[in-house]
Amino acid sequence: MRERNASNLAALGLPALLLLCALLGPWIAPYDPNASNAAIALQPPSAAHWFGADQLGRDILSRVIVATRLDLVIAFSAVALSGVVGSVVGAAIGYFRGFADGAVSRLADVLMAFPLFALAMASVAAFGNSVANVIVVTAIVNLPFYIRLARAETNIRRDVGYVEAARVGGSSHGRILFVFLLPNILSPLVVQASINLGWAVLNAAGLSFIGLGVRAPTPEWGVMVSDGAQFISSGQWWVALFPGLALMLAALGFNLLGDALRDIVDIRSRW
Amino acid sequence: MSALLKVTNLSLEFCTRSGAVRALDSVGFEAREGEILGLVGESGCGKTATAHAILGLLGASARVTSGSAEFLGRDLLRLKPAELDSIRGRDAAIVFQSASAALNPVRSVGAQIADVVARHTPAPASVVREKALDAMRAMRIADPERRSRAFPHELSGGMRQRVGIAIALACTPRLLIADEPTTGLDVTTQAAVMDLIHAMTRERGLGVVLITHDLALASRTCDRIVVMHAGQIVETAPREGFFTGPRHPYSVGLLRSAPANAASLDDLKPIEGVAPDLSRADLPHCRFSERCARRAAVCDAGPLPREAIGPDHIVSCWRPM
Amino acid sequence: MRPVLEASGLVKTFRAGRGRFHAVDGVDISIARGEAVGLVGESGCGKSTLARLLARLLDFDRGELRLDGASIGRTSVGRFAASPQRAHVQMAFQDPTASLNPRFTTFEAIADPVRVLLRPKDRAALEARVFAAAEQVGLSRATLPRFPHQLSGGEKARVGLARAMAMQPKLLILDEPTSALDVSVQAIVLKLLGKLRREAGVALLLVSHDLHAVRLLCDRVLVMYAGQIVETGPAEAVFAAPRHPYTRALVSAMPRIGVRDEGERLDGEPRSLIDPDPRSCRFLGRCPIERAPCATGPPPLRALETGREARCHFPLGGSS
Repeated sequence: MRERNASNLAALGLPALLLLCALLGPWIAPYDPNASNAAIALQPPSAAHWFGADQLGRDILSRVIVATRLDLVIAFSAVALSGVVGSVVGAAIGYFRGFADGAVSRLADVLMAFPLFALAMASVAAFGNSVANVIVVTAIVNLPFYIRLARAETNIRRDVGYVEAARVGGSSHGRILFVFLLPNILSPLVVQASINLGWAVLNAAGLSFIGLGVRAPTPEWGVMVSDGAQFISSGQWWVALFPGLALMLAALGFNLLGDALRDIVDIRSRW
Repeated sequence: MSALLKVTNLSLEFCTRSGAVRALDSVGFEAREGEILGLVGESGCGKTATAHAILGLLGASARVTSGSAEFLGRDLLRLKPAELDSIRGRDAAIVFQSASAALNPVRSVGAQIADVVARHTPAPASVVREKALDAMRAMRIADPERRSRAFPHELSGGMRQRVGIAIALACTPRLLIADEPTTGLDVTTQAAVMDLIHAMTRERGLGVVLITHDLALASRTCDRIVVMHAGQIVETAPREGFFTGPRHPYSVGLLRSAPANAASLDDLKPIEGVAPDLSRADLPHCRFSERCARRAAVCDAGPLPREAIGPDHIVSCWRPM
Repeated sequence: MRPVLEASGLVKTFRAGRGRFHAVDGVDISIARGEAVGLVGESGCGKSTLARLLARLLDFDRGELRLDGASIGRTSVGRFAASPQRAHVQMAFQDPTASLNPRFTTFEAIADPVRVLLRPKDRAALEARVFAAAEQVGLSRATLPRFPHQLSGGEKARVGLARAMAMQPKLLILDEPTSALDVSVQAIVLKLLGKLRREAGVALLLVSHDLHAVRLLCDRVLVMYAGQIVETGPAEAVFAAPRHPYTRALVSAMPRIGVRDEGERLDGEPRSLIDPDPRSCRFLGRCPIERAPCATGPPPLRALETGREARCHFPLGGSS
């Protein structure tokens, strides 16, 4: 019982903390994240600057806090996009089956095999660096999971009693999909989505890390880690560590949230 | 016919988040050699819990609060797990309701029967295989050599159920507990499976406890009937006596509400009310009293009586009909 | 009087490997207004498929289907949902739990088809219909705001019936209405069906393997085997004196209270329905009567005397 409480606490606490930082970022950050101050460049963590300062003298703590908003926006948008599109497409092919089912499933297989970074590079080459790019690329690569999950969950329910009753009750196929099936497959999809958030955050950071996403000086965890990597060998570990830690906590928090949701959903689940 | 299994005063509780559920209250009955005993009641009355308690199959949340289950001179409820293991499968066996769920989908049926044989009677592989085939033949499974290589999903529901029974009977146990063995099967398959069980009883002196909610099924094959309601035994009677002269109001209600017994729709008389919630703290002494048309002050006086009203016929009622 | 439902030559096959699985093979049915007809048979005989064909949940390959004279077989299932005829044929399903949307309250479950098919002009009209349907099946108002997981098995069964009856259909098809129910609830549901029939005048098609339920509720019974109707007749007569050997085996296997019979036992399993041999009777191999004509020509469904038919070269109790 106690372990469950501890992990449930973290499951709610971490995402809540992140959400707080995202919403109130600019107001709770002690310093202006973009204000450079050559005098304190590369200062280690101290009472004045809890996370230290980077090579331009900017306060790392403030930058980490403010970056939360951008990273979460990217992650939520990407997951929402792929979640909504993937679920609807997956439910549709799970319900109607037929030729579309085969075609879309094969397409999803191809997408799954596609390396994220190759797609990102092609996208950057075509459309340039931008936040929107990162969101779309992450969403595309994530699609197959939702398509498959929605397809499977819809498939097992498409002939269940209440769906047949809805058919006899005059509902068209479309209405059955949106009123009867999608709401009932929501739970496993939500669980998938929350676990996905952690992955999406890491993805976005990873793309920015190699320069395919957000660019400096915008505060974003991946970019900050990338900037700070060059200083590790010379002993200034804090520049890369704290944004890295933030990434880790974000991924951990969302994964735990997903686990906790899955526990709740499973107990009450089925039909 | 001597008593093979004697359950006395068995009471059982399940510990749940909403409190203790008093699933069984002083359950007592006897299963005899060469006889089929029907344990009849609606879903939730505790018949499966009884079977599981006897064979040590209860989960961690169950607590036996009193009683004994004597089998071959030992009390099954007081044995250690290792001792129960050696009895289960060899001297006492159980057939579950959906045989499909009890069969391993990735092993051939012949191998699964052989597994049980080998577990209890170590012998060379060829002997074990032959015994497995014998078990299938006893179940009137045609072409056993070929069938034994089949996997469960390749067989029909009725065939799988026969395999389930074959597994249970592979080591020629003395006692067989069959929990709803024919629910979900077609009427014709049901009859065939019950015939097999009946034949085993006659030929091998097997003692059978048949758990079912289907009164008509019980009336067809059972020698004696035990009726359960909300964790209590309400009536025990030989088959003939029960169907011609039931004495407990619940038994009478069951017979009157059974479609098999009704000549017309108007003849059907459903039983009023529902069984009480067993997690209640204020359960009455007679758990049927709240649904009973014959309820009187005496019914709340004390624990249920056990009144013998005929040869082998016992009723737990203060005002039997 | 025109029959409320008339089907002729219904055929439904499914793809199975390289061949086709003949689920329903040439079935004719006629149900009169207010009549209760039973459809019995073993699992796999095609009765569930046939029920769904008649309820227009499945498209059939060949045949004709008429509801009150109007042909309803031409449109596909998807388009039939929008047809004015949809409300006239309704269905209640076997598993009361699976037949209710876990996210709908009882009220919403009954109201949904009313909204879609009857388009009541305002909330009051909708409520009136829902309350009337609930009362008709004996559901108290207290159950209306509850969700399925808060209802008992019997209550859930009643919701399924209320939902179907709210449309005031001409024909109600019941797929195994009692098999998933507790014994005490079965009696309640059977009596309720009898009452609905009497008071609403709705015709019933009861698909069931519970022969006693059919005996009590139905005027006529159709016996199905391997995708075909093998016997028809008044329920009491068919159970008392079956004319087809399969029906006799079925009847003798029916458990009856107090009767400890050792009747004839049916051995083996039905033959495969994938591309069945068109030349022989489908009961061949399990039939106690086996003579030369049984393997060379499939028996047609033939009238024996008034109201009785059997698909057999050598029907019992009469001349062939």
